[in-house]
Amino acid sequence: MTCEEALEKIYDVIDNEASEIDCQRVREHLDHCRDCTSRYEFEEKLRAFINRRSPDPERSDRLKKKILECIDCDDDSSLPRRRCSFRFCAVALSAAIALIICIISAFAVAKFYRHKVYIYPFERQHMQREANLLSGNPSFEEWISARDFLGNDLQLAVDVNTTGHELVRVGSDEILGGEFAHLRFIDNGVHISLFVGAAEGVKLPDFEPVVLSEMEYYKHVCGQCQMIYWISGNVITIAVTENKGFDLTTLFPVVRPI
Amino acid sequence: MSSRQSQKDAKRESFEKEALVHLDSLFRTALRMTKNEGDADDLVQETFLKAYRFWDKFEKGTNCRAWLFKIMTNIFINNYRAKAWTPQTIDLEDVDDDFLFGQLSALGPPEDPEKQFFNKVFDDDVKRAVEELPEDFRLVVVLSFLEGFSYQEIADIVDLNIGTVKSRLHRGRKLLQKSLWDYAVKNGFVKEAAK
Repeated sequence: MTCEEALEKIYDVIDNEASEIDCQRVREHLDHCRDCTSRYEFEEKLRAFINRRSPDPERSDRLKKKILECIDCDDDSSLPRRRCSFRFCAVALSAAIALIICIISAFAVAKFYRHKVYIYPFERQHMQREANLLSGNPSFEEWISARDFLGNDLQLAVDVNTTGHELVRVGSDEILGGEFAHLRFIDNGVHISLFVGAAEGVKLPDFEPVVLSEMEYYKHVCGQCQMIYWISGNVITIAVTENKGFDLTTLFPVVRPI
Repeated sequence: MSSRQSQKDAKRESFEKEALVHLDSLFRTALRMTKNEGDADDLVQETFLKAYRFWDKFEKGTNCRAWLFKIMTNIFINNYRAKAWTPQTIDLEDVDDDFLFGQLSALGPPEDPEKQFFNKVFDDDVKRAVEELPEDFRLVVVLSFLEGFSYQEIADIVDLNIGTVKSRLHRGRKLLQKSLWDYAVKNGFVKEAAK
């Protein structure tokens, strides 16, 4: 083996990726080539150097404790008793939020509080349950299993191929007192959440109606965040993004109930 | 209720024994990726919560650590990656494969510049050099150097083919060597060799 050949394989050997035969041949070469040996040793040293660990046992104990606590409360939330109280919480929460919105609009206080109030139910409780879509772009089969996972009467056809929105997460949430499918999209770095659920009983104050030739929707802007919703049949779709410049109406064709 | 409780306990126990033992390893990588401890904490926590939810689906006996890293990488890419991400173009034409070694050996004896280099460059400098790598390279370098994953495992974790993993690792190495060298020269740890 020449020096050139040996150096070509050297990283594979250091990364433990070379075949046994290659390893053997590189080592044989190193045995009688001082120059290559010092290169090899240097690379090995550099790798070990970067890998120097600085463990902080106190920190990881703390983190571990926190995670276990979260797991325990996560577990509890799957018990029926807790689910009821969750639902109650959601109703109470939306009532409280409606009240806060009224008070705040009445006093016409700073816009960003309203922004916070609106964002809260969407962002803080998002994805209470999530489908097993660990890969970035779910396949058709994964999507089908996600649909099963949603488990209610709502069946959705999601058309992601024609619109350029990438579906990254699928789950369901209890918001505004009802069960909603939650779909998270990314479009050119802009994150968009779609909540799809039964329109009945959902009240969203402060939305301005917008009438387009083909359909009617309602819009609300607060701070950097914008939301629109539209109703087709008995299904309401709420689209939320934190990017004010994004055209949410491009989401119209993405989801339709079937 | 009690059988449900014992089921729950068993799940928690197996999760603690098989998954939570990788916490340090995940945290170390999270720290390199997010570059701050608060975000790293959140990322690791989110990863374990998600893992716990899908713990029943995880095939016991397969590579749990790689599975956790895959979950974490996905969360990172979807939620933490800088929003205005643009692909970076890097010109590495003039950087040799063993750039740092070449520079150091050009300095030659008698003071053994290599030894000097390793004695003087600190953890912080290495940390900085790693964190300065563009995200795509950083992820692959960290998974290989810090976590010791094989090329194939990395390919599975970040959803790339093995050729791309190798080339990113290769270029990441070059960038790392260049940045460590520049740092050492800037701080006077070594004197730049005469060309």
